[in-house]
Amino acid sequence: MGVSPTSGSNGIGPIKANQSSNPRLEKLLSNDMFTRVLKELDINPQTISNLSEKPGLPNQIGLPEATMVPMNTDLANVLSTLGISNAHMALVISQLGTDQIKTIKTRLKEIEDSIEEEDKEISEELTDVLKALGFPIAKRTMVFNNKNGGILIVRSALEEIEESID
Amino acid sequence: MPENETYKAKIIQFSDDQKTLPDGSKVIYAENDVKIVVYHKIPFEKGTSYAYDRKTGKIIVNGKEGNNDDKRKMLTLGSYFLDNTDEDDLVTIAVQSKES
Repeated sequence: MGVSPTSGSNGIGPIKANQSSNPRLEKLLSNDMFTRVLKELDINPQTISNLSEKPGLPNQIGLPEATMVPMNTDLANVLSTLGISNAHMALVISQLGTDQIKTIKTRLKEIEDSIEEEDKEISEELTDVLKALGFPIAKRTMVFNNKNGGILIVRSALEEIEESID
Repeated sequence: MPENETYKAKIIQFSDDQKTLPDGSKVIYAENDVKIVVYHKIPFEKGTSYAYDRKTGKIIVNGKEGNNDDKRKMLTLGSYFLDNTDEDDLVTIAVQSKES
């Protein structure tokens, strides 16, 4: 499934989609402003074959100025960081950010958890400091940074039980 | 999603390209299966790209390996972005590739 370009101003539109295409995609691709934005993104409109939309957006999807953003240096840097070059892009779907805040929060928690995991490893230097302060440091002692930056020490209950047996 | 199309990445940013955060900076959030990226741009300064590797847990800042402090900066930026954003302000750009 694909679309066929027809002649138009600036040589980039309007674009006429195949009969099997989504009618909204056909409408979108017939919009000269949208095709101009695609050109800025270095995306060939002929490679666009599908359009996904989220509820609440349908009446606005024909207005590219409300839903599309131009390719700029910042966006290009993000794409580059993700290992994506413009040549790889065959389809771009633009939609409102419904539930995106929740998604981002979940991802940030993923990063936060990775910090806690790394901080669990107790260093020799910290061990020496804690010993100097009189803290009993068992082999399975765990050290955590809490959210306020304080250090919480959790000693293994098993280690204490072993010591009590001796 | 059709079988011959592969999800590449999702990019979230303000729908209005002129809109900024209260401090005048801009943040773009992006993710794919491998990375989580927060791009921060302060006016008249070079942008900073924080890329967290979801598999290794490592962070790369502007192409160089970072540390826990960089992760905390990334989290602070993400939280600042969320605290000053409504969903209606955002646009999602889904990037997909079509296998030939």
